[in-house]
Amino acid sequence: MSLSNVNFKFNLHVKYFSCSLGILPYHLSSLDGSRMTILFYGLAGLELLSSLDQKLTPNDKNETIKWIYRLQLSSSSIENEIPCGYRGSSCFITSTSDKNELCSNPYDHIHITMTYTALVSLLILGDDLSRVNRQAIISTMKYLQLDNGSFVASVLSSESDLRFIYCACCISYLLDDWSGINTDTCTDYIKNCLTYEGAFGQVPGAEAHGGSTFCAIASLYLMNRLHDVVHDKKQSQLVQWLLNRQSEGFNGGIAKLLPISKKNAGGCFLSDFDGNRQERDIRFSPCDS
Amino acid sequence: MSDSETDPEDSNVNYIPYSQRPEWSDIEPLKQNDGPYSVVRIAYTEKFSETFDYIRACMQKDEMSQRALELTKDACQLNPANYTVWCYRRKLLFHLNSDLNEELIFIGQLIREHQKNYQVWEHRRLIVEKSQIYNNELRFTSDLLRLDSKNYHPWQYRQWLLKTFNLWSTELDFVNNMIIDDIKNNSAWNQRYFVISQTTGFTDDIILKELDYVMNKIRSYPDNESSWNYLRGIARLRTINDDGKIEQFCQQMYDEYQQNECRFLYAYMIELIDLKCQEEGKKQSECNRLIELCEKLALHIDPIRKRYWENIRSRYTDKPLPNHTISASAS
Repeated sequence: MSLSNVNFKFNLHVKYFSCSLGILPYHLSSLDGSRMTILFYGLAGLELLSSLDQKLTPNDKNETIKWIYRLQLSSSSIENEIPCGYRGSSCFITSTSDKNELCSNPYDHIHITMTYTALVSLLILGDDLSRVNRQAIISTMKYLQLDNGSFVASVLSSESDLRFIYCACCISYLLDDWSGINTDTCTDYIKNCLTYEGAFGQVPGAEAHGGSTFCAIASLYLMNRLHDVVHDKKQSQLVQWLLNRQSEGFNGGIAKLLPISKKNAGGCFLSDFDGNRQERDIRFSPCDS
Repeated sequence: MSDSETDPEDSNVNYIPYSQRPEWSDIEPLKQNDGPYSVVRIAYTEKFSETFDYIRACMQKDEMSQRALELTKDACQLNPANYTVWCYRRKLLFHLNSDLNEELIFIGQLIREHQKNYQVWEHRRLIVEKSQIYNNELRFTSDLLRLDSKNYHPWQYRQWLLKTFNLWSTELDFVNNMIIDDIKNNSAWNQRYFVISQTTGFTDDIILKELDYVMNKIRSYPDNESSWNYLRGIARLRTINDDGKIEQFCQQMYDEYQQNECRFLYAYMIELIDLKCQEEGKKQSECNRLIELCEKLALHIDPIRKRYWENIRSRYTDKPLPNHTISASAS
């Protein structure tokens, strides 16, 4: 990726991602249950900036891998069916066992986003996933998928929308096993999230948004169902909507401000489409020093 | 993400740690076990750590008591993003038959403090679903929308309310007022589409009325992507499309706004010509018009998307893009 603009403050971005792997200030305590996702952002950011090896020693990487595996939850036997995968942090783990098996705590459960970000983080760190309980994770998706095709993130939470479909598709793709999800109902749900603007909202009826559009397109792409939903005129409408998101960087929706994730989302998937390639003149806004 | 806040330990000098409360003396608090090496640590305050030590202990044995309910209130206020604590709190509320009106007041305050937090909105939704106390909910969301008219959460919650409790009767008026307040509020336009699609549906009659509505709005403020997207969206639903209504509208706008070129108008005219050419074959005059519009956009009005307009133009001519166009104001 060549950057046409010299405003990009490379070292500051590296520092930012590196610091996020260390200690976060108290005012970010709302991230307590989702530290796994922050780990992913930090590692992925460093890797994207080709700075991972500069910031993490081999020992750091090994210890981080161990930290991730401590958060894996597996059943001890095939009969003992519980949702398996990864937690976001140790905040509700009360088991003293090292085997990370289910204990009596009914509030210690996995979360689909944490499972996805754990797997990607392991791969970024160079792990071979040999300690991942693949079968259990794939089977778990059946607990989390609803009749309408969408997914809840956890048995403790009832929110269901495109974010968790994306996580489910990523997990299936990373483990190369699609037996855990019903891709037909999943595709139907995504189709129902298409709005009159030609892009995707989080749930059917909701306003089209950059983040949800990214989740929709990426999920369809991973399932190899993109052309079932986005084809011909629908594709050109979507492309135009996406291109209209670009002002300086990419915004999340019409007249909304833009965080980093939506910038990446807007930029990333324009290149998935053949034809109408718009060379991205991505300018990163100057970060606070 | 939580708003930045001062250290809560500073804010309440009367706060008594749980370890010093006699009614909690029987509980052994459970420290978080993050392992010998951890990443993405958080600089918890003592109050935060202690509260969650006690929450862990209660969750471990699934204690269903009034004191546990009070404890979850502290924990939820310290970290409203923690969906597990909310889940525990709900279980306690329903088990203890707590006053859900009071809970709505509590969660309402928390939503005002954390307007973009998923968990607080979901908690409210589940309390309303369980209690069926919904009479104040539309007003609650419209109050929040007054603070931030584009916040995704109240809009999504509002859609759930409308569908679940059949509260459609005043919604189109509400949406219309939102659009009058801010014609660029895309969330309001989306809501308009939602209401109609869920009630009358887009019959040909309704589409005609809506076309008139949106065309008037566009005339009053042409440089607004939201209204153009709405026009384009409903136009695609038409089963009868031979009255030339939309083409005439675009032509009128084109003639009236020569001095103040509007990129959304030109983009739509290009789409209409492109569609017509695909269906009925290319006519030279229309192709020329399309080429001219692409050039104006690429070179003058919308250069950030220059390559996109070049790409469309290239399907209609082999000639390279000129270096400049004659702007409308010079003609």
